[in-house]
Amino acid sequence: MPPTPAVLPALLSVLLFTPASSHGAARPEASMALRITPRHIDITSSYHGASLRVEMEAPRHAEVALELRGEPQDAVFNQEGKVGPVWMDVGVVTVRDAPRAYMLFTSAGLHAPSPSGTLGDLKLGYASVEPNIRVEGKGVERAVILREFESFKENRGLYRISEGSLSPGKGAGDVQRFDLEVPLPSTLPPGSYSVALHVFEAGRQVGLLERGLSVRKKGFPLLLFRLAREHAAEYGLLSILVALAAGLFVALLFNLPTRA
Amino acid sequence: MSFFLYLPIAGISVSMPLLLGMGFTVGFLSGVFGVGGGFLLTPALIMIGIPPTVAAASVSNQIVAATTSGTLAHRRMGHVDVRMGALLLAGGLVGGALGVEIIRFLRRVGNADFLIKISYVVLLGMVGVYMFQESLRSLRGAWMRASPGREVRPGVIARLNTALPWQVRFPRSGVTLSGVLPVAIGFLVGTVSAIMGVGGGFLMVPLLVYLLRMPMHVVVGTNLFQELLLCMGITFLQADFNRTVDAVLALLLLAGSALGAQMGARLSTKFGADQLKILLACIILLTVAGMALDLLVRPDVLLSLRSAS
Repeated sequence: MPPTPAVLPALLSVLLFTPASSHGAARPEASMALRITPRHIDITSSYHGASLRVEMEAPRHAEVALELRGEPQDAVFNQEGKVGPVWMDVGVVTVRDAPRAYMLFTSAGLHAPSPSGTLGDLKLGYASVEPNIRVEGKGVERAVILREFESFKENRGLYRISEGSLSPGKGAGDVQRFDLEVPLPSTLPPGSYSVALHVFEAGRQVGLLERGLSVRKKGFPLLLFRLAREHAAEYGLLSILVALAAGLFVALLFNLPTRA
Repeated sequence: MSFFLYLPIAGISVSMPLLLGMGFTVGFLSGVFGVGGGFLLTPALIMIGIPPTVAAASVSNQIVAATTSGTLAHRRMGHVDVRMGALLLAGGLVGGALGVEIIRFLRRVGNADFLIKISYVVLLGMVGVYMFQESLRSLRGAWMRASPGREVRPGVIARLNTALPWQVRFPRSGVTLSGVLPVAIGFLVGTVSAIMGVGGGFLMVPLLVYLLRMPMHVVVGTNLFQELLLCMGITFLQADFNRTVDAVLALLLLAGSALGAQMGARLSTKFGADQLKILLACIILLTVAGMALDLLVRPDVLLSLRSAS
């Protein structure tokens, strides 16, 4: 029996003014959190990399991805190729606007929307970074260079994809919690980085939180770096004098007798 | 206590004991054989993650300390011919400048790196093989001697020497020869060194021994002296023009190498000249084998960093 005209306004009111949570789906932002420790990393003389502690909260049945991304950077490379039987430098390649560092950690259940899809469909991973990267060089194949560039960065610990590495810990109620220690290598360049938590439900992103991380030289490394850049001639002379003094000191220390 | 130290120009943290050990090993070779060791140290630093441009520049700085220590040690033993070293350096500076221009020209017209790598392997291989064979013959006592009544013809260099002007007595080396010869040898080595990006000791030492007939121990000390002066200039230029000298890296390397050079200089007196030559030849041949393998094996990554913003 269809609703009578008198019932319609009441029904409409119920539909319009009932909170969304009553429909069974909580607003994801309410149960998301992202905390990183530390927020600032100081590179001093004893610096040997750092560990970034990341604490995340997300809705109970959501899947998550954590991204660490650095500022864009330009870099010039020698490209090796095979000429006859010999491997050697065959050209110069410039890679522009590539992030200084890129790391991705995902929860085990995070999948692309379609069965044959990739992380790129979720705008994650190297596929999300590559469209913004420019490759310049004579006769270079962009796809090949990007692959080699990513391998170069991975070897230095600056690029990393860890699928399925996020496992939920103890949560409460509708919230699940993820804790992660991200190892940051000593090769991580000084600069600003963003740490982003992406939350997905049914292959669709429903939430995003971002925090900033700064890495900076401090103390003696900063002093020497500035001296080398801003007073290069004096720095060169100082380097020579220190080397001469060290060599002289060792020679005097040993003080070999002369031969007859 | 952390054994790691952050290198501000290289932008990487490294193990201090590892760097001290690497410096000591190369300084030791410097003290024994009179070679700067750059051809060993630079690739080793690159292997542990130091950017190539920083490695090459910082090694020059380290060589200043090692050669200072080694030169003083050899000078005390009467093994440094300052007059000869000055002439070698004069030729080396001009040759080095020419070598830089040749590289620039080759890079404009085509692939200079192929030529450089192949030349390095071939030249170093020839030097190593010749030194090894000659030293082995000498050690076995099978070197050809003049039989009674048989006249020994003077070699090409000896004939050239008598024809050239400006005869100079080098008392420390015990030779009298035209000053043009050491200048020419310095020029040749300087040119090759600039093209190949090495100090040139592996070439200088055999040339001084076999062409100028200098005693091996004096060659060692004299070569250290001229490398000291050359590397002082290179360090300054690298710091001023390229900003690639990492003084912290150089300091750690030189702490080890200055000590190693002293030990090496002491040990060199315990070896005969032929024994030193054959040992150096073995090191050169091993280096050539390593370089040849490097040319034939696909590298892990086909990109190597030149510079980054």
